[in-house]
Amino acid sequence: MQNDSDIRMLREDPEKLLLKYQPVIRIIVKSLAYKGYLPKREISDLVQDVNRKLVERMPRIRSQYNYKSRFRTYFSVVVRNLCLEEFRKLRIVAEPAADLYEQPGNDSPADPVIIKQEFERLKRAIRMFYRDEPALWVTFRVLADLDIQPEDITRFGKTDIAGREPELARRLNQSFKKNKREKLEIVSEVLSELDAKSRSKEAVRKWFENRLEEILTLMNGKPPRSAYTLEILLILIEKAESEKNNS
Amino acid sequence: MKEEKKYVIKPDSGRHLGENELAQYAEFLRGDRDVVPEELLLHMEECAWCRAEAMEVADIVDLTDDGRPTTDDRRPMTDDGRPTTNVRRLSSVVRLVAAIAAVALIAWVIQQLRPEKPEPERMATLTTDSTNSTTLTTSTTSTTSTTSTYSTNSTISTTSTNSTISTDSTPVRRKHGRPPVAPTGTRPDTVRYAQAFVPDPTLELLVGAVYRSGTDPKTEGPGPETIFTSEDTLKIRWTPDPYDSYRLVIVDNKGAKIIEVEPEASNLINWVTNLKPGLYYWKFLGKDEMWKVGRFRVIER
Repeated sequence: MQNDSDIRMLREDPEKLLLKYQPVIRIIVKSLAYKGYLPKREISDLVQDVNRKLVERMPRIRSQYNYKSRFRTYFSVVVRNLCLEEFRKLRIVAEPAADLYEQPGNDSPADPVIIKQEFERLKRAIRMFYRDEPALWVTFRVLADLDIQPEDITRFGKTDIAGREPELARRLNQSFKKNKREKLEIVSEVLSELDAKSRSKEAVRKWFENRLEEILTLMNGKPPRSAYTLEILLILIEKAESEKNNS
Repeated sequence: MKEEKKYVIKPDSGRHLGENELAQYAEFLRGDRDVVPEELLLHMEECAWCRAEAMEVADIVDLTDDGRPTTDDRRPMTDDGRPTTNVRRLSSVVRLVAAIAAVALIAWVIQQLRPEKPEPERMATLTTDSTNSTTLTTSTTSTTSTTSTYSTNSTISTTSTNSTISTDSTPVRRKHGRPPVAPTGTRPDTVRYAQAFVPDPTLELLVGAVYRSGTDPKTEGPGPETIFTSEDTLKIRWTPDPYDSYRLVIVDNKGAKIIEVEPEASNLINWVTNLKPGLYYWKFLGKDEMWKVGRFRVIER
């Protein structure tokens, strides 16, 4: 219903819509600034600049929005891109400014939420690899020494291996407590059977390293705001699994 | 798995997702919508540039989100923004009948879900004592009793008569033979274990930073990828300046100070890492300056 009202405002009263979205604009500007794009003192100036640009661009926004997403989401993308344009104009270097950061407290009540969000971000990062998603999850689970179930194999959507899922899962589970290289070898053998053509162990290792590197970059952000490693990702996956089993 | 390609991330190479497609895909990533066009999925699979954009946009939308979209918000729109559903065309009589049926259904479901046995009586008491601390006591008549105390100095303590945490319990899908990291029934602890490894952005910036000073003691310590198990020794060496005094401070991944260690010799600190599993930072400090910051992890033995 909120989307309907946004769309109505977009058509009939864009200024009112802009007024409604002031908190969203401030959040986006601040979040980009806190990522190190902008000195803190310039935040309110930039909010003004972005508002001015948005007023100018409102007719274009109205004509270009294709209604396939919520207006709020579309508008967030527009504001973000506008901010980045402004940053480029100002030639702001993506260096985090030390005074922007505040030391977090010892026992922040938001911590469990942060962990949940981070696992959600990991799922998103892996989801973007689309057809590789099941293979990536299997590889991560094997590396984390988590049990592979027949359903994990079913997710590959291969009809020609129907009935063999338990056997393939069992083979993957034999990787338990082996080192990373040995685990990837076992994964490569099973993936070769799931794939149309055979993959060498080296090809699977390179494929995973390549994907992992990008997933870490996606998780850490640009400019980097955290320092995820494979080890930390595995802990996240492991904890999420335990949570799922406990709940 | 498909043929691997090396993608070059360049903003101007070829066609990338526009603002509308990015918004649509960000909603898909966030789980706000279940379906997006196949060509969008295939493009994302191929394009590292758009993946980075989509991840950032999804993060931004998380920040600006005011809750999941309602069912109405999720319904498809025509190209000019009109809802495609025909719900609005239903006559008021049909709507009324649908509403009554829905109420009846909900009532039936509630009836089915009601427990047959009465639940144990739960009581909550709020008391304030002379020390200005407020105590909330919840108790269940059968087995448990939990007391949480909130005082003016913001400490929260919890005691429970039967809240023994068993570290032997194994999650269902865990393989045999490896000690479980997350015992069942300890949700906050399992979260905290992973939390202990989340890097602190401020300290990460300082790790490996180079300090320009004539009196730099040329500190040598464990590298940023060092992993200790409890009881391992962390060693720091440096070239001392006679006019400076040195100390080592260990902080956790939230920047909270764990311990301050004085040198055992003028150029050496050996400290036994008796710490819980997690990510920690070491700071080597002089009298007036911080000379070096490093990172290390502690894992279970």
